[in-house]
Amino acid sequence: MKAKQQTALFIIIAIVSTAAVAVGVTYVVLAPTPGKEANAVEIYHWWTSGGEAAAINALVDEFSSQYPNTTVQQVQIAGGAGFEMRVKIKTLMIAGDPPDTFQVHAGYEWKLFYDAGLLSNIDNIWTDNLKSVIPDVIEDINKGPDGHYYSVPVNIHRSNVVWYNYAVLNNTGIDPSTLTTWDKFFQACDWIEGNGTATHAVNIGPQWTQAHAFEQILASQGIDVYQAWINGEIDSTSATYYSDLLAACGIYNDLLGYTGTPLGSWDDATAEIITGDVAFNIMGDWANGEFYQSNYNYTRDYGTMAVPGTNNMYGLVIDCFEKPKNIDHPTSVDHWLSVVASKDGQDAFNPLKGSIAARTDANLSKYGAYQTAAIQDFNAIDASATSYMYPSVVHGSGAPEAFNTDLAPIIGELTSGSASVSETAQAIATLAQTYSSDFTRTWDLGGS
Amino acid sequence: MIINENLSEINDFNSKKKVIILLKRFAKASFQRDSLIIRLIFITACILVAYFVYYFIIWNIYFSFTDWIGLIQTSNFVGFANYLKMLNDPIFWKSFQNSLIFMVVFIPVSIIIGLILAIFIDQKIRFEGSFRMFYLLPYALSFVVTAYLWKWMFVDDGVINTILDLLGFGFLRNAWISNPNIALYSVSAALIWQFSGYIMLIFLAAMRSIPTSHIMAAQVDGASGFKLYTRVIIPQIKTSTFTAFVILMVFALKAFDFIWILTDEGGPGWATSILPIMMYKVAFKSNRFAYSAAIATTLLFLVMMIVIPYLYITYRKKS
Amino acid sequence: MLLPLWSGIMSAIKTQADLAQTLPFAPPDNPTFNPFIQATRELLRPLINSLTFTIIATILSCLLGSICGFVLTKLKFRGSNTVFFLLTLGIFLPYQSIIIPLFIVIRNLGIYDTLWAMLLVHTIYGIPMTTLLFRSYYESIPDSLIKAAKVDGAGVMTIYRRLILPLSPLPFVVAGVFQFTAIWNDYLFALILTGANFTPASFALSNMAGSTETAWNNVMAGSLIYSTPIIIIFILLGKYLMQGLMAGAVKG
Repeated sequence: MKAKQQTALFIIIAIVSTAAVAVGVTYVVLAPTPGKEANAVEIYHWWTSGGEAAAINALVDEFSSQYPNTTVQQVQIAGGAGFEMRVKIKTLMIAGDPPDTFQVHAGYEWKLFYDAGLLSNIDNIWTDNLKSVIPDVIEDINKGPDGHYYSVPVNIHRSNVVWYNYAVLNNTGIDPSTLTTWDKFFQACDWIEGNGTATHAVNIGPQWTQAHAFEQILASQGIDVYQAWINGEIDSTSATYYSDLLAACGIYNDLLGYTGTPLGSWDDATAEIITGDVAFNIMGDWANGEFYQSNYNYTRDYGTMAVPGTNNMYGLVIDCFEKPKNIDHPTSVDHWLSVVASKDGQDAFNPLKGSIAARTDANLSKYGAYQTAAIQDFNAIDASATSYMYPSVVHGSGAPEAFNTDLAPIIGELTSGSASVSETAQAIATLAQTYSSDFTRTWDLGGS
Repeated sequence: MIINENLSEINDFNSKKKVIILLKRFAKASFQRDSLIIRLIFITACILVAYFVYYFIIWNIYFSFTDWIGLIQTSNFVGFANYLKMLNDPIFWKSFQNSLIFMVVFIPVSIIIGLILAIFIDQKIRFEGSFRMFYLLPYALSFVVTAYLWKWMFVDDGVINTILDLLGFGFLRNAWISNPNIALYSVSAALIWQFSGYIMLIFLAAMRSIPTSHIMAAQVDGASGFKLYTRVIIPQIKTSTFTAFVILMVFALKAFDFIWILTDEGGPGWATSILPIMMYKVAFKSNRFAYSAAIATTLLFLVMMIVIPYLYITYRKKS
Repeated sequence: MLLPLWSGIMSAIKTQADLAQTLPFAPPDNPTFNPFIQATRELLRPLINSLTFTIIATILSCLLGSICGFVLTKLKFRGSNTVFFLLTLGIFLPYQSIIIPLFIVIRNLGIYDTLWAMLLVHTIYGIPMTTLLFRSYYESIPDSLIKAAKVDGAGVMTIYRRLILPLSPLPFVVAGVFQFTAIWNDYLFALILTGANFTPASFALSNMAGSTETAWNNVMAGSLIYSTPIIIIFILLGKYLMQGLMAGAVKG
């Protein structure tokens, strides 16, 4: 380039840069900064796209209609199912600058905040009225080891769901409601792979989905097995229920025989059900949104059943909000929490989110087809003495975070063939041993 | 809070110490009045870097000797407990091994490919500018973008396997990042793709700046083609290799984001878990901050082990 | 090599339905610019934010690197090599290990969640690398030039302004491009040091990818928009980058 053109180029770059900087700085400096005003509330969450964003916005609208003078500031941090957000929250907490409130999964996921004395108890939000409409196990999950309430649930997702495509199953003549044991399920899978239109009977996704499937399998071994597991009692090869843990690993390994290579993301796996490439997929019921978006009809195009062996169980994945100590807007957070717990709040949020309300008095008419069925199941299980609810480990509720963190890679090694079934079972038991000091609560799920 | 107290103590002590040392050194050097501004800026820059880099390193080292778990910042001194735990931790060794393998694969192969590409483009082919752009483009894209792209490419019926099928190499199909044996190499390949363009540029520039007289002299002596390159040109660009090495080392460490997204946090199992990944998980997932600090310190130590000798050798010749 | 990029571009002009039904690298049935509109809506403010601090931090860290490089090569003092070693080691700091104390410091300085936090942090962490690049370049400036200037009565500042700086546009380009890329693409500091008030583009883009649902067409469109400034810089400055490298910015 000739000297003149060179100079011209540099001048252009200089002008553009200066302009950008000038505009930028002005823009930034002049932007309004809410935050520290008296009537505001700062809500951290990771519902950043699609239906979930619509859901939180609906809840915020409900809040604003009840408390019009309070500004709501949503801080959304996506990534890793809330992991990136929790990195931020932990950093804030360590630095002594707690956020007003944030979304977590009820149970162990907020435990480390509790341990550090950073959460206020919200017994005042848990009125008797509220306690009467929330099932006992769920109430329990929202309590700390000291018996006080520390979080309030906004929804319930079910984890032990198997999704299937009606067209695929109709072709094979299999009736999903008969698949109540693993043996029958695997028989059906054999049949499908031999004769049906699906390339694989089941599919699996990234490591957390593998661990997700595994924990449902463990639950299918019996509620007392699962309960012992989340109480950290299966911590060696000689522990009671170790054989059940081993059996669960074996069943998971058998399940792997019917899957292809793990997919990159969970919604890719659901997509394969939608396109009919695969017959079954084990995933929590946030997957419902995927079917909804493809305009699939529940019980016509797609259907669900409980994971084999867990028909009388409801696997719980619960999002909740809590109230840290020393926050800027404690009263606003109280208001927020009561709206979150209210019938109107939950009925505004859940239909859009795809989950069901944590309350037993939800207004059924607002919910879609799948959710109505889920609510009925939920109420039935709550009412029956031989049906159980269990908190998910993979989604942070049932077991300490450190345990959950290493569980997924352990299952990942089994999936990829780096570890054998017995090695995996041993590793899981050792894991409970390693983090035994983290297991500070004793769950009672109603089993024997 | 305990941390903030320690912070301000060490803070004051450190910056004072640094300022005194530097001032003393400057006093010994020749002094000109209007050079005050320049030296002042230099000292400020050094102090800032010292604080934001070395003070934080010391922070890490300090906490690696405590038993800090969760959000309660205890300052119970536990000596080398965390380091012992680390040495007994199979996950640490696996991550360490992966870090090493990754560096050993990524750095030399990037250099070699960059070199080959540079030689190729040096042949005065047409459209050199476009080719250059073409190879540089991957470097311009952010890690996040390329990680998703590659994730999608490596999937079972993704681009790579489909193309292999089309070319008739279907037997080479693989579960590139789900296969624990080759996942690390797949990741390395993706990163090599991303950076070899930049390395090519460095080598190309170095080649172009060899005085033509040298090359002509060699050609007069009868060297051409292969010999020309191996005997004459390549030895002359040895010094560029150092910078290429540094840049690649930096990216090997910063590749954290890329690997995290591409392999689902170091999976399958721990097959692609490198030390920074383990460190991040231990800190923010398992909530073992003291242990994470110990790993961070070890990582830094390892990096020093590699970089210091290299720096020493290269800069010894200069002074 | 270009296939992934091509598929990305294809995805960016598809509707949601198209995305589910067509092959990734096949053209859409109903092309639409909707994803771009959606992406721009979400990324406009963050892009301006990012451009601002990236440009300023790049210029500042390059300037500081130039001065440091100058001092370390031409104003040698005892221990200048040690200082250089220490500065260079700073390049290799793993940022994940320091985000907690960094956050505390930034918060104590009162600049958390503002432009100044990103500016300060990126400038400082850029100094080691830019110093390395400039030092390599300045090594090759003959000392005789400096001596001659001193004989003519020039002071250090004058030497720097009149002699060194005019010789530096090329290393500025090399360092500048490197810094711009690094700062623009950084995610970790964006996550930790900003909140609701100041959102950098890398963070906003990650949020677009979302948690449980991902609108890939929007995300791809966003990625393309996000990558544009860097691509523009590479196209404009590619040649100078080349010249800069030739001129010895990286000769070590």
